[in-house]
Order: sequence, then structure tokens, then C-alpha cells
Amino acid sequence: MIMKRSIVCMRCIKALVLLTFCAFASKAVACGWDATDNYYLFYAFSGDRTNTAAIRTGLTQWWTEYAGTVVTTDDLDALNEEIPARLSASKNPIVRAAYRKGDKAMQQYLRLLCEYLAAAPSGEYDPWDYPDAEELAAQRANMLSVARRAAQAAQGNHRAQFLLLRIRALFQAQQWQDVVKLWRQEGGRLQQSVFKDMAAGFYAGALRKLGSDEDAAEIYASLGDLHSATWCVHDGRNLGTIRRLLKQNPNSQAVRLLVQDFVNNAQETLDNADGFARLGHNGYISKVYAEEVAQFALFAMQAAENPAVEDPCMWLTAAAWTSYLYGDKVTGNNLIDQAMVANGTPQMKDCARVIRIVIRSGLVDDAEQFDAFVLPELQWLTQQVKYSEVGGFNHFFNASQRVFLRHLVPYYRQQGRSTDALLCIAEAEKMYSRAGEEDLMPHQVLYHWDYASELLGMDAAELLSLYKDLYQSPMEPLRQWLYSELHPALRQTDLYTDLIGTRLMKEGDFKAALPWLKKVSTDFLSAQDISYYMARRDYTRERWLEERQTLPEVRDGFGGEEPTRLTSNQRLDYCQDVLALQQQVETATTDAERAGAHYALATLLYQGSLQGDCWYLTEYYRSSEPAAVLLDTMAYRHLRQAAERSKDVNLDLYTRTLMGMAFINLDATSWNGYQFFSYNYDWTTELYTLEFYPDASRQQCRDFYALTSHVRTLPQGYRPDFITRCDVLQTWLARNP
Amino acid sequence: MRNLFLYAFVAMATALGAFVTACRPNAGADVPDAVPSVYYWRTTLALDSTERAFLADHRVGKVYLRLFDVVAREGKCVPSATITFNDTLPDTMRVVPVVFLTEDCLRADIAGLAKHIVERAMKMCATHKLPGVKELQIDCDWTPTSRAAYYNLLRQVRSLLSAQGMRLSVTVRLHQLSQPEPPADYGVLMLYNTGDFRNRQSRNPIFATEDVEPYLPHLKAYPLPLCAAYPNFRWQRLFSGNDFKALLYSENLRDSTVYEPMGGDSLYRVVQGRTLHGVLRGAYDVHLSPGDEVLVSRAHPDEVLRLAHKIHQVRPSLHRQVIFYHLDNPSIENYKPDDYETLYRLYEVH
Repeated sequence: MIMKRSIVCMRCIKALVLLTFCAFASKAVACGWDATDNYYLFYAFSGDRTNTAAIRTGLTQWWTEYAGTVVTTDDLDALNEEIPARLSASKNPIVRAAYRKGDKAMQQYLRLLCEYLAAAPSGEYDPWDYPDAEELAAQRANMLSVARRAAQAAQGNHRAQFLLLRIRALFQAQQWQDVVKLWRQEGGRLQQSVFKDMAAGFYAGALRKLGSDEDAAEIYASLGDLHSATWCVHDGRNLGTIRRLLKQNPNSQAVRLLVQDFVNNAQETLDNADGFARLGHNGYISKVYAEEVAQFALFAMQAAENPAVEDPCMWLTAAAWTSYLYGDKVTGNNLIDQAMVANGTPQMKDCARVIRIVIRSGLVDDAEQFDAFVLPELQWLTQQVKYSEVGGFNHFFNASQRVFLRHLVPYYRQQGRSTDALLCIAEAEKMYSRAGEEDLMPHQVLYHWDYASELLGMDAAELLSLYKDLYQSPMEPLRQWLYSELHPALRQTDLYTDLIGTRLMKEGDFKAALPWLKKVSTDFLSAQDISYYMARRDYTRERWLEERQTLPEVRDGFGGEEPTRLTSNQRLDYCQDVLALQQQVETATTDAERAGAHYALATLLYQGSLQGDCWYLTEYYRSSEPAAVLLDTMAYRHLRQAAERSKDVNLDLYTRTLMGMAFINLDATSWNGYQFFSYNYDWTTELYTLEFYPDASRQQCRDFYALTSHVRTLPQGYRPDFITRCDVLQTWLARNP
Repeated sequence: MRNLFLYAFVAMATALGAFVTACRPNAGADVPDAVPSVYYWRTTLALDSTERAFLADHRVGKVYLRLFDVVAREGKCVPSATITFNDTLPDTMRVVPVVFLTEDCLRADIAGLAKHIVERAMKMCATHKLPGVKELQIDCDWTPTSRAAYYNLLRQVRSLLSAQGMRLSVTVRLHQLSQPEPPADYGVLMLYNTGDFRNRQSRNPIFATEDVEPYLPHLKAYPLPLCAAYPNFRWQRLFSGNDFKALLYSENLRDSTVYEPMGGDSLYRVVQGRTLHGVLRGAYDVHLSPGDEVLVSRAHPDEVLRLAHKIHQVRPSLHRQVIFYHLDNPSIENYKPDDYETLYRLYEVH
């Protein structure tokens, strides 16, 4: 018994286990600990809260077209460094294009722009510097000069650029009234362009400076700068303001923003209340607010009927969603149908369509009818999920996560359709692949994926039921589609047959496991991380007599295992060996034979348990400190049988058996297993010392007592190595002569 | 002979008294140019009619105007949150520019910091023609571990200021009273922020008599001339259970769709989940969850007055100049005009 090594290993394993947990927690494809999938569903605007990215993209597109070569955002930023007097020598593609084309107006614009950029505060200055009065006056004079010269040049080409320059220069000179006047005189008449949008942003800023926050919000919202717009109306995020502003402008963008804000807050209020307080249960959501939401829904219905409103779809969707959320599901359902056929922006129509899926999932009792409805909707929704390097996932991604995980999974579970619920989890997870597929070898399964994690949490009966649903029964169209959407690695039958066989062994039913394991190919197993251990460990070694089968650098659960090519399925070999030994136990004719068979069987069962070296025979990863499992109990029982039958006929086997019984710890739990001894570090001597915590009510302690009694009576000529090398045993005997 | 001994004793006692006084030359001395004053601590200078009326009604003669903060970034001290001047102060007002220094700065590289602070502050005063500037104030919540660096910095600042014929004042927090006095011309004793605002169980974190009284024994003999700063502001503290979440500086708690008053105006319950985007000071957002609570704390004028009278007995000169923190329309409403008058004129009444 090499207990010292065993304990040291245990320390390593604890650390490694934590690493394993960390690896699971930080997986790239799924959510962190706090993810709730309760994304907003009501998007009257796109998901971006600022329009900075849109502006920069618009600028690069415009300049790329103008220059006839690709212009990047770096080229835009580099204009800050240009010296107006030396523009003709510039290498910037924007400037070069203006000179190549002989575009005098553009050259003048760029000169003035560079003057402006040089004079405007950019953040690239000594932070301790502060302008004196003269510098401020000069800066203002510069800006006014740029504005004046831009006005003179604005008569020809590139009017939008010159107007933008005039407006931003006047803005920097704090001429707010002049900015407003100029925009009203000329800005509104410009053709749509990115330059016009930028100028409008300065106009909105000037309005804010002059105290017209709601007017500014209207412009910011129409530009997609929701952050600024929200700031401007932050004290008016309620029904009263929505009413008032709608009266002034039936198609107000600020109202649109406030409606989006109101509906999403109404949704979030319920989402946040989940699990600790709900409406109507003396919860935190006051009656006042619930009434406000009800009034909002009524108001939204009325607004949709206003002939001057151009987007009744938005109002009907808002009314539908809030009605549904706050309990009136039937009204919600009726309204969302109306929203689907009402006029509205494409964005809003899409939004209504997403919300309709959720509302239907909360209403329809007829599963077939719901499936027929939802299948094309899900196909459409998942096609809308896009990812870009600049903006990340679009809002359809959020919608897909909520629809699948918050609504369809519970819906199908409620219907008793666990397979469909499981496939919905996989489909939600698949949306992450729009950001790029993981680099996997053929057949490789990542068992930390959400879908695979669900599989690992199932018992053999559940897995058998799943297998039947997937491979032995005709599939309805929805399930067929969901299954076809699975990652190819998750559609391998080997995945399921291996899981079923493995789970049956873990549950002690080796006979049932055998036919399943026979179906598993070595190609499949060779692609999995556990093949690393399969190729290197031996389940026939007596765990209680030998050192732990660690690997030179990679220890259990470290996560750095490289799949290894296998020539046989070790799980199958193991299963067959266990069955053969079970047979031997049954057919043995003498005590000596039976004792030997029991002992060999116990050795295998323990090695295949979570505490054994070959845990991977019945598991897929080793997380947490190994707890005692069924196989440990079975191993212990066989050891006891071996002890009873060898006691009088085979001293060596009997001694080994007692070592085994004292080694097994049936009281071990994941985090707080009883050990009757431990190694404590002494900071003074910098040595580990062995401490004992005897507790005769514990199995391991009782068996250790039995072992020590036995060792004291061993004949002089019998001193096997496993006895003399065991520091725990020798220390105990020395301290208790 | 007995008389000789008596004379000798009296002479010695007198000498000893003189010696003690000499050791504490400024204890109880007045601050210069004492006048009713206010702090202005916002990031934009813009006064509304109520604020202007307050200055006039209470004959406020001095505004302690925060110009910028100094914060440590990547080991270097840099100015932050510089005030924007959208307005001017009345010409009759005297301005004391104030620079707030975070304690982190004292652990960063402070070589040249004194020069940076003085030059920038003075340039800002000149650029914006701030009236009556005769001194600079440094505000810092220093502790014994940062004291040496801070005092070293102050000595440099004071030296640079005195070369221009200007004074240096500092803020003094209650916990700093037990420490040796900072090298400055006078101090402003901050009689607010007396508790931990993150702790829901603490007494009124803005002003609680029980939190002030333990420091009074240090006050009488504190060697630096001092004046008093009293609070008129309020805090809106957001808690989830006992966990502090944020200070809601400008949030409108009267929005009944979001906040439900829980009796009176000192406790509100959040009834609607929502994210406050950039509403708070700083760039971060905070999320309101149903069930969160907002505790409104404010200094109660009666309590402030009671304690002010008590403090007056300990160190009357403290009230030769009273400063209110701070000039801000909503804060002004927290006291009645008479309360302001009583505190401003406390020294004269006594």
C-alpha cells in the first residue's frame, strides 16, 4: 500500500480538478456562470447603441469609392497627422486621390479639414496643458476662420463635406446658435450621406447645449446614436413622456426609442424577478408599475390605430409583448398576429416575427400544430443570425438564445419531449459557430459542449430513450430538422452507443453494456481525449499495492491530453474481463479459486471506478475529488468475499485483501471525504508529518485496525514489500507499539 | 520667602503657558478673509437663478471652486474631470480654486506634480478671469501611510504659491485631526462624510453626531487655523439587500414607474428593472433590479446646528468662516434659509 504517494497525488488531483473546472467554465462556445439567456426581444432599432461604427464604415466606403482604392479607418485617422501646407506630398490615399484627380474643391476641403483637426482638441496633448485666454481666443478664431473659408468654398462640389466642416468648426467655436441656424438653412436640404449624418450629430449637440434635449434626442435616435438619445431623455423614460412626444410627432424616433426602452424594461423587470418574487405574489413589482404597463399596452393599441402613425407594427408588437408578459396571453397572441400584417419597417416586422414564436410557445396546447408553425420560423430565425468581426453577433443571435433556451426548451420539457428539448439546446449552442467553427479532428467530440454536457448528465435509461428517438423511431419534421442541424460529431452513432455502454458499466450492468460497447469503433475512441489514458494505463494492477499510474507530465484532468491512436476498445476489453471474472466467481469450485476470482474482480472494479487509475473506463472526465461510487462498493464486497475465503488457505492473498479493504474509502464524497489520516505541512521544519484521525465508526478506519492487527501477527518469514514500504502502516505501528 | 516662592511659581507657570502657546501658535486662530462661503463641485460651471439667488441672499463672498481632480494612471499623475466654464461667477465673489488629489497619486511618481498643479490651476484662473484668487486649496483623503508624501508635496506647492504671493489651504478630515498638521496656511474641517456610505447599517453617513464627537478632543488644540464646512447635500444610495451597488447622483426618484416611496422620502424601492446608461458620475452603467432599495441620506439641519453649537464651545474660531458643501439647486432645498443664516452667522451670535 503506497498511501503516501496516493495522498500526494490526491493533492495534485485537487489542483487539477480545479483546473478542469476552470476549463469547463471558460469554454469558448457557451455562457459563463452568470449567463441567463434573458436577452431583450423588442428591437425597434438595431442592436448597436452608438452609431460610431456605422459612421466610420460609411466614411471608409465613401472615400474608397472616391479614391478608387481601399481606404481604411487607419487612413481616416491619419488625416490628423497631415500638415495642410504639405498636403501635395501626402501619401494618404484620400489626399492622393484628390490630387490625382485634380479635384481642387476636394483639395481645399482636405486642407481646411486638416487645419480643423490640428486645432480641435483631440486628446493627443499634454494633459497638464491648459490653454490661456489668448490660446482659447486663437483656437476660436481658427475655427471661425475654417468655418468662413469653408462657407466660401462650399458653392461648388462636395457641398455635404463643406457643410459638415462649417458646422463642426462652429461647434468647436461654441457658436451653438450659428450651428442650429446653418443646419436649418442648408443641412436639411442635403442629400443623404454619411457627411450629412455627421453634421446632424453636431446639430443635435448644439441643440443640447441650448437646452433642447428632446429635440436633440429625436435627431440622435434617428442617427442610431441611442446612447446619446437615451441620455437626453433619461428623465422621461415613462408612459407620460411617450404620450406627450407622440402627440407632437406621430413618427418620432425619440418615441420609438422610449417605446423600445419601456418594453425591454417591462420584460427585464419580470426576468429579474424570476426565482425570488413575481407579480401578484406580494413581489417587488409594484401594482403601480404593473398598471403602468397595462396602460402602456392600451395606449400602444390606440397609437397603432392612428392613421398618421407609419409603423403600427411597432405599436402592435409592443402591445402584444407587454400584454403577454404581464399575463394577458390571449390578447398578446391576437395582437401579434395583427402586428405581422400591419405596416412597419423590415426591422420591426422581423422583431414581431421573433416575438410571435415566443408567444405561441406559451399558448398552444396542440403540439403538432405548434411544431408545424414553429419549424419554418426557427429555420428563418437561425438563418438571420450573423456575426461580424466589427460588431460581433447581431440581435438575432440574442433572440435565438432566448427563444430556444428560455422558451422552447421548457416548452418541450413540459410536453415530455426531452429529446426535442435537448436538440433545442444544441441548436442554440450551434449559433455560436457563426463566429467560427472550432478546429476539431474527425470524430472528435468536445464533452464540455452544452449538448454533450447534457448527455453526460443522463442515466442509461434516458440515454437508451434518446437513442431510440434518434435512431430507432421515425422522426417528425421538427426533430428531423433539429437533428440535421447537429454538429456532425454529435450525429455519430458511436457517440451514443459508447455513452450507453459506458453508463451501463457505471451502473454495474456489464452484461447489458457489452453489446453497446461492441458497436463502438476505435476510430471514434481514438479521437477522444480519454484515448490518451486508454493507451497508457492498465486496469489489472492492484491499486492498493502499487503506485498510482500517473503519466510523466500530464495528470488526470489537466486538460492537455492529446488523443492517441488506439488499436482496441479498452472499455470493451474491460467489460469482457469483468464479465469473465463474474463468471469465474460463479463457477469456482474451491475457496482458493473463488477467493482469487473475487480478488481479481475487486481489482478491476476499483480501477474502473472514479477513484481508480482507469476512471475513464466509466467516465469522460474526472471532475472534483473522486467520490465513492457503485463500483467501489462492489469492489469492497468482492474483497470481503475474498478475505473470508482466503483467510485460512492463502496468507498472501488474505494480506493483500486486507490492504485493499483498508485502502478503499466508501465514505469519500466529492468535497469532504473522510480520511483517517492526513499529511500536514509543518512550516517550521518544512516537512510533511502524518496525522491520524481515528474514528471507528468509519469503514476505512475499522479496516485499517483489522489490517494492523493482522500485520502484528504475521510470521517472521513473511514480510512482503507492500507491507514494509507503506509509510502509513509503519508509522501507525511505530506510534502504537 | 513664601512670597518669593509664589512669585517664582507664577513666573514659571506664565512662562510655561507662553511656551505652550508658542508651540501651538495658530490654534484657535482665524482663517484669512473669513466670509460666508460655498463649495462648487460640479464639472460644469453654470449657475441657475436659484443658485445665484442663494449667493446673493446669504451674502456669500467666497466660492471654493473645484477645478480638476488629479488621479494616478499607469503610475503617472494626470488631471481628470476638469471643470468646463459655461458661465461666470459674480465679479464681487472671491474664488478659491480647489484641486482634488486621490490618495493613489501619493503612491505614484509625484516628481514635478506640485509645479504641474500650481501652473495648471493658475492658468485656468487666468484664462477664465476668476475673480479674487489669492490662494489654492488641495483636497486629499490622505492617511498616515501617505502622509509623508502628501506633506512633501504640500511644502512644494506652498513654496511655489508663496513665490506668487499666494496662500495654500487644505481640507482636513476628522480622522486627520489626530495627525500632525499639514504644512498649509489654514485648513477647512470637513464636517461631513462621517460614515461609510457603503454600509447600509451605518448611521447617517453624511453627518452623524455620534461619528463626529469622538474627534472633538483633538479639535481644541489643533495647531492649524481652521474653518468649518457643513453638508447640505444628499445621497441616493442604491442597495441590493445589504450590498451597496451605487450612488445615484442625478436619478429622479420621483419617477413612480421606477421607484416606489416606502413611506416618507428617505427610502424607495425599485419596482422596474432597468439599466441606467451613463446616468451616474463616471462612464459606467448600473442595473436596477426590482426589489433594490434606494436610501436617501441627508444632513438634518437641527442635528447639524446642535452639534455646531457644541463644537463652538470647543473652538469658537472655527465658525468665523462657514462653508457649505455644496452649491447646487437640489442641495439648497435641503435647508431652510434661516438654517443657512444661523450657521453662517453662528460666530456673530455667540
